[in-house]
Amino acid sequence: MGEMMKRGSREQGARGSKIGKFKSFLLCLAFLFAGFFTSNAFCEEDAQALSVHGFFLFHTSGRTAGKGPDGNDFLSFTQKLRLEAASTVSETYNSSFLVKLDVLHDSVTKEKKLDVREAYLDFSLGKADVRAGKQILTWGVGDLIFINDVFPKNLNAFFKGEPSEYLKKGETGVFVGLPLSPWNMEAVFIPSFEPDETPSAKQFYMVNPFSALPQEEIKKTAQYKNAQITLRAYANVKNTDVSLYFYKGFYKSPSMMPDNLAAPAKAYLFYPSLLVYGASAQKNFMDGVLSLEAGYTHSKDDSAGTNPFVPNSSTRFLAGYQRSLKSDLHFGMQYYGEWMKDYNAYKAAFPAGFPAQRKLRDVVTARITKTMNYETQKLSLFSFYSPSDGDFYVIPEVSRKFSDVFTVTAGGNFFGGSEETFFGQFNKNDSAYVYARYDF
Amino acid sequence: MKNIAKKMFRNLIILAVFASFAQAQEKDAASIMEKMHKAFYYAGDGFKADVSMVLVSKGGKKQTRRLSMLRVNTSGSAQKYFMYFHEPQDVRGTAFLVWKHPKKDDERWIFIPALNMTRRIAAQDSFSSFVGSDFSYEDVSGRDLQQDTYKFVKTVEDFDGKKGQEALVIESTPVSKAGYKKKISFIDAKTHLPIKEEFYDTQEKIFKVFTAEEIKTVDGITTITHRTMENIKTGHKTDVRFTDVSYPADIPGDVFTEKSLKKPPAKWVK
Repeated sequence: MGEMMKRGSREQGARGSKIGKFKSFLLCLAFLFAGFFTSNAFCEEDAQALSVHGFFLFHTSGRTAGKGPDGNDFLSFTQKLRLEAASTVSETYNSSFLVKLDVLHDSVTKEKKLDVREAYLDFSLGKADVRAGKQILTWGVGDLIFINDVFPKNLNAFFKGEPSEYLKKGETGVFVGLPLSPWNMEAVFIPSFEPDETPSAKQFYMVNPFSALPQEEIKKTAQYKNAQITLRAYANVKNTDVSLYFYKGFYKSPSMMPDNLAAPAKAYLFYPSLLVYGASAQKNFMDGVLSLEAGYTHSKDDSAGTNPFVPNSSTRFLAGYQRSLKSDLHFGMQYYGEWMKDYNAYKAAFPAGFPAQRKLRDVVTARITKTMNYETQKLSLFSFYSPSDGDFYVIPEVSRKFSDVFTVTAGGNFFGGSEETFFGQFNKNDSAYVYARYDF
Repeated sequence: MKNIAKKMFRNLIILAVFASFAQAQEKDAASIMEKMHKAFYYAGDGFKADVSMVLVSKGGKKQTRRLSMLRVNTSGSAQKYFMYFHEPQDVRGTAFLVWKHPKKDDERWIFIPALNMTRRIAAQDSFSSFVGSDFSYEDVSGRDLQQDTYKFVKTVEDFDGKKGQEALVIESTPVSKAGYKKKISFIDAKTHLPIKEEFYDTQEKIFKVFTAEEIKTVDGITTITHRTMENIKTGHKTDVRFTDVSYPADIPGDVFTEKSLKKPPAKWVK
């Protein structure tokens, strides 16, 4: 969450697929059913039948600190149907496919959408495992803190209190995992760019120095030069999980730049180039687990740090520790820091009147979780507090499983601090949410 | 004076004989428990089963868990476990990997499919509940033998009214942190499998009872294929059935790694 949403906000309404894409939805359904009826004919004898699962989710979120920029009290009133189809294609090639679709309607934002969460084919080539298609990836050891996890996030969903899986967005690419001894290699090639989904300016109050200007997003087109590559090597060294990471691509949250600083008429949203070199380690320590992660983010488009509209290079690090306090009570805490490189150059070039960042931004997090009644009830509290910025973000949550297939969860998103800091800017966006999920 | 010395000498001999007898019994009790561990937790080189778990509350409310379980014995008393959840639906695809080390904390990892995320997790107290059931982690994968002392109590003929079933009764007392004050195990004299175990709380009252409901011979190895754990205090009960049981010696090592958490090998997990 350190990197996300620091600079600009892109209006998401325009990006969402409209019901005009209903045709593609029908096509997908037709594909699913065709798959269902023909799977035996196409697949090898050892293939398993198609399995179809999913859930129905009702989610609502209401503001607790007054009306939003859109004049609404509600942030969301959403019905969502998840359809998930998977099947083994061939045991010989360890091959299978999976398609996860969400059909949703939100009566607050008027969004009607078919969202392909994931759709991929898995197979093995010799020792290598390949996953081709749209997929969700998570790297690094942070808990809601991302350093080497360079994959796209959805803060808009997270700030509305949608289930945590919606914090991650899928990305279309080819993943190759190669188990070597002692180091295992993973590589992901991502031809098309998928940005973070930042909180919608229509629904969330936040800092936007260019809010009065028309905004234009400079999208990353599917050109070879825009392809992203990310690598991970990992091994278990003396009972410690060690990973090394590399990423070549772009910042996933947009930066903003006026067309003319003296007399701006338009603001551009763009995605600067980014290289990340990092490492992480995790091991058992004093009856718990110790996590360490660090990364150097190299801002290729502004190596000297003199362009105020491109983030400076930085060193990021986190140390975390989690353990059980009692058999059903778990505790975790983390310290995260972001150390800006070329801070003097940044300060010198930074335009007056804009909220500037500090050289070191640090965040402390704490998570406490209690499960009760044979894991049918769960209480949890996650909190971010930044000593450098003096702001915070707290997420209390309670959930109850009424049966194997029916769960109700309620919680809140509460922010505090100065309006110019990362969490503090959301101060007027406190909300409470409830969602009910029926699995099938 | 001479008589007193004689008496003392005689008493000392009696004491020594008793002590050595008690020591021998303790040793016997420990070796019986060792055999039980081998038969119950370490049988075969590898183990594979589909596990169906039904949690029933006092009021009759049910929860189900269905998982595939793989185990391999590595060196000494070290083991590796791989568990893949099929049900309930909201955790389908979640997988656990456990590297069990003798005399030090287990290493555990969880895979969350919705986020495609693998995480090392803190080794919970091994006597905490296994996936919300009445079984604890150590009920599932065993407790280090050195963590208890053992006393042979008696032999019971025709246990539970079954003619010819001889049960060896052993009392276990923990010497390190445990979920019970005392445990009485009824161990089948022939197979060394536990037929029944009673767990006592600090008030010396039974609070939990394990029962082997069904024992079958699979690949020449006697195996408990149906077991229950009942919490006497709360009336909650967990009923576990093993199906598709086998003892394969050829489960590849990479099944017990992060790679297979992300993508379980179709040959072993269905």
